[in-house]
Formats: sequence, structure tokens, C-alpha cells
Amino acid sequence: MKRVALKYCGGCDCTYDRLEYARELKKSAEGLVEWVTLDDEGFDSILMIHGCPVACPERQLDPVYAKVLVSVKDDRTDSRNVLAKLMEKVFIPHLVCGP
Amino acid sequence: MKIVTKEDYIKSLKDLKANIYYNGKKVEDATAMPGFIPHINSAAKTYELALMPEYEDLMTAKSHLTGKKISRFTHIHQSVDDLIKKVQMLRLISHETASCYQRCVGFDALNALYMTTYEIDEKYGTSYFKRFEEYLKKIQEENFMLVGGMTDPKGDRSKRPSEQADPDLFTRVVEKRKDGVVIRGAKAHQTGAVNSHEIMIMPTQAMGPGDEAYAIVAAIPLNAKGITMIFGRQTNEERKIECGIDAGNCEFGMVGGEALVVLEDVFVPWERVFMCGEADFTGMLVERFATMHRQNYGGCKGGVADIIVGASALAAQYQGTLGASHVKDKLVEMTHLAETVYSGSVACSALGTKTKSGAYYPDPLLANCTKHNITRHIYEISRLAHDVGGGILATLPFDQDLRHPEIGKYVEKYMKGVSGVSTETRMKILRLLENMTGGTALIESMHGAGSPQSQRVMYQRLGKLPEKMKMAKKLAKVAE
Repeated sequence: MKRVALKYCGGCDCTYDRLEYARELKKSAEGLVEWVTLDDEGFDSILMIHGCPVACPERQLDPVYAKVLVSVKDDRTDSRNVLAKLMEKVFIPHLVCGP
Repeated sequence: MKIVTKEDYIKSLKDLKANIYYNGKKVEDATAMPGFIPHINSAAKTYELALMPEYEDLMTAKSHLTGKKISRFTHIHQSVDDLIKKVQMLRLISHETASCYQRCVGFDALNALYMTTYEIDEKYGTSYFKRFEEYLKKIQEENFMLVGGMTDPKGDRSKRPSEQADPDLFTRVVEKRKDGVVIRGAKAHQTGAVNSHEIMIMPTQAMGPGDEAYAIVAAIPLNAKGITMIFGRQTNEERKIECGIDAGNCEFGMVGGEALVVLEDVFVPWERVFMCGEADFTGMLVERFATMHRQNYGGCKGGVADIIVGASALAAQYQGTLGASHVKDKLVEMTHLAETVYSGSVACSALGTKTKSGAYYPDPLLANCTKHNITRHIYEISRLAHDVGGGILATLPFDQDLRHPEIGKYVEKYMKGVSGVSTETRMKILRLLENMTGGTALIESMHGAGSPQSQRVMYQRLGKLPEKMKMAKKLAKVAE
């Protein structure tokens, strides 16, 4: 089971229903993913669901997580591809952080 | 108590037992008063949204004092990004309420005071900033709702505070004691006062020599001895009491709910006083508060305008005119105006700068332009909404007529628009549009955060006219 940290943008002016998108994705990820938040420790990857292409939270994300981030900015992004990407990624702090 | 949920907020108001009058009667329980409930619901939305993961990125922030997650409404802007997030947050909440949720005034007071108390201390060696930081920690921890109390009644506007026939028309210190000050006066048009916990009183304008008693800033609990609040009657106030379709937005109201807050010899201990007699800093404080409050309007009114555009489109759809080219063009124009005001708020935030205290401050000229656009564009958006919605906006029968056993069938039959949409649905959208585009809703856009002339005064001060003349002379190759 993968641990995925789910983070939403603030939702000031969304171009689609982010919650509906997340519901769909969670349905297809049932039994495969344990959903946590960025405040939790020990996640394998991060899913950010943004309401528009500006993707505000992405700009504030610590660069050490860049390689395990999967970012959604519209509902045209196929949730099956998103899930597949999330399943590929594993966050290993000592390898990513460097000296 | 720490306020986390809507229920905590309502309980805290019930426990407050402030002295409030509504339509000539004393209010025993503000949370049960139909005239206040929509405003309470709107403010409660700020607590509810902060608990939702899909909104917390805007609704919460990390305290620079404690490192804890706090409501953004109690945060001190630490960056340009914080300034932008404030505007985004306001647009978001407006989408949920289509009305004013009142907490930005206290938010702006906190930020203006953080910057200004720092600079007062720097000049006079006072300890207001440290005192203020302690107060800030308390509000960040307890998350109570603060009114930003700036506007005094002002009496004869041609006279200075100390020249008024009645000296109480500007809020002032009437007695200084060892343990605190005694304050008398009033604050007018206080948004959200009847459903807030404390008021931060501030000078209403720049004070000069002789007006030192009026240079007072203090945080006062709204249930303090000597405080009386008198609620302002809004357009269609009675419809709030009916709370049906005719209210338009029964759950969240029209605008914030304003009150006259009377301070009759209210004692405030020194630890809650953040300016007392430093008249030379009153202009700076007023300008900063006004700038940060004017920064907001493209966010909150931009969000409200989004709902007006949506409701206008639905009204047109329900009567079969949405496809007409002139209707589409009017909706486009309304969108243009809504995005124009929003872009002003984003722009003044993007050009924000760091003050000596470390807190960030939006560009004052652009913030004033934003609010000045609100005094025009919201009227134009509303005019276009009336144009698209049609005369039915003004002549629609009562909700009770639709439900009447004898005449209900006539309302149902003759108020019907396109097939597939009920008459009741059509009436609900028309009432929402009526609620958002007339009366108090418009006047708030004109005068909230300062009347248009106050923004024009700022243009004269900040407009860099000599620099512009110099540029023109250079290009024209003239020296005189």
C-alpha cells in the first residue's frame, strides 16, 4: 500500500470540481493507497489537486519533494494516469536531499 | 475559549451577552435574532471553511509568532504571497456566501497596528509593539472575531475634533488613570459588530496638535461596561425575518450587518492600549488601515460579482434569452468588470513591500484604485444585471402568493419561463439577483473602506504628478 499525501490548493476560483475529481481518483485507488496529508510523515508521494494552472501550493513546496510530486491542474488529466504515476514514485529522503 | 467550529463561534456569541438594540428592543440572545442570523452564518463560514482540506491553503496560515496553524484572519502578512492569498481567500468566501463575512476589517486593523506600533516605539521608546504582540498571540490562539473600529460619527465635517460643539462626536480619552484609560464616543457603521467579540478602536482621521485626546487605539471586549450597539436597518430588513424566497439570500444576507457602537465612559486597561496621544502617527495608521482594507475589495466584491454574473445568466436562461447576442455581450461586460476589480487587488498585493516591522503592505496607490473601481464597477455590474434580469426583478409577487391556495396557480402559470424550469426556481434566482444588486448592497460598495473622495485624495498624494510633468517635458524637449 502506497502512502500518498493529498494537498488541495485554496480553491479561490476553480475551473472544475476538485472534490469530485478526488472522489473519482480515490475510488480507483481503493486498496492501493493510504491517503495522508503533508503534515504526516513517511509518505511515498504527493498528489496536489489545483483548481487552475496557477497551482499556488506547488510554488511553496519544498524542492526535495519535486520528484515525488504529481500535480493535477484540470479535470482533463486522466485519473488512471495520475494513479499510475503515484504508484511509481517513492520518496527516499537521504537520496533526494543530498549534502 | 478557542473558537474552532461554527458551533464554538455561535456558543461564544451566546455567552458574550453584549448590550444590543434592534428596532427599538433590547436583544437578549443575538444568536436567536432573525435579523442577525444571516450575518452570523456568513462570519461562521470563515470558521467552517478553515477546517476543510480543500480550502485550508487560503483560509489558514502559519503564525510567525508561534509557528502554529492559525486562521488567516488573524495572520500578519509575511510576504507578497500572503498579500495575494488574502485576496484569493476573500474571493473564495464570497463564492460561498454572496455576502460580506465581516472579518477582514479586524484583520486589516491587526496588520495596520502591527506595522504602526513598531514605528511609534522606534520614535518614542514606548512599548506598544510588545503589548500588541501579546494581544496578537491571544487572538491567534483563541480565534475570536474582531471589529476594526475606525469610523467616528464626525459631526460637523468642517471642524476638527477638538472644535466640535459636542466633543464626543469623535471618540476620545476622557480620563487617564494609573491602570488604564476611560473612553467616550462612538464608532459608526461597524460591520459585524453585533456578532463579534471585540472591537479595536482607532482614530478616524489624521489628528493634529490639540487633538491628542483623540489619538487613541484600544482593544475592547464588546460586552464591556458602557458599550451599547444599535443595529442599522438594511434594505428589505423585514425579509430577513420572513426568511423565505423573498429574502433572496436567506442564509447569508445582503451585506455585513452594521451597527452604531456607543462607548459611554468605557474603561480600558493599559495592556489593551496601543496608541495614546501620539497624534503624529494617526495619519500613518489611518492610511495603512485604509490601504489594506481597499486592497480587499476586488477579492470580496469580485467574488460577489461572480455570483451576480451567474445569477444573471440563469435568469436569462430561465426566460429563454441566454442565447440572445446582446445578453451574451452584457454577461461578457459584467465578467470584464469583475475581473478588472479582482486584478486590481492582485496587482496591489503583487507590488507589496516589507515594512520596518517585517510585515508586508500592499501598494497604496493601486489599492486605492481598486476600491475606487468598486464604487463604479459594482454599480455597472448591477445595472447590467437589472437589464438582463428584466422588470420582473422589481415586480415579482410575494413568495406567499406563490404558495396561496387560490392565487398560487396564477403566479405559477404567469411567472413561468422556459419549460423544464419551475416558477419557484425562477423566482429564487430573481430574488437572489434583486438582493445582491440594490439598496444597501450598492451603498456598501460606494462607502465601505472609505468614500470615493477619500481615494481621490490619495491619488493627489501618491499620483507622482511632478514626475509625470518631468517626463512630458523631457519628451517635448522643453525646459520651462
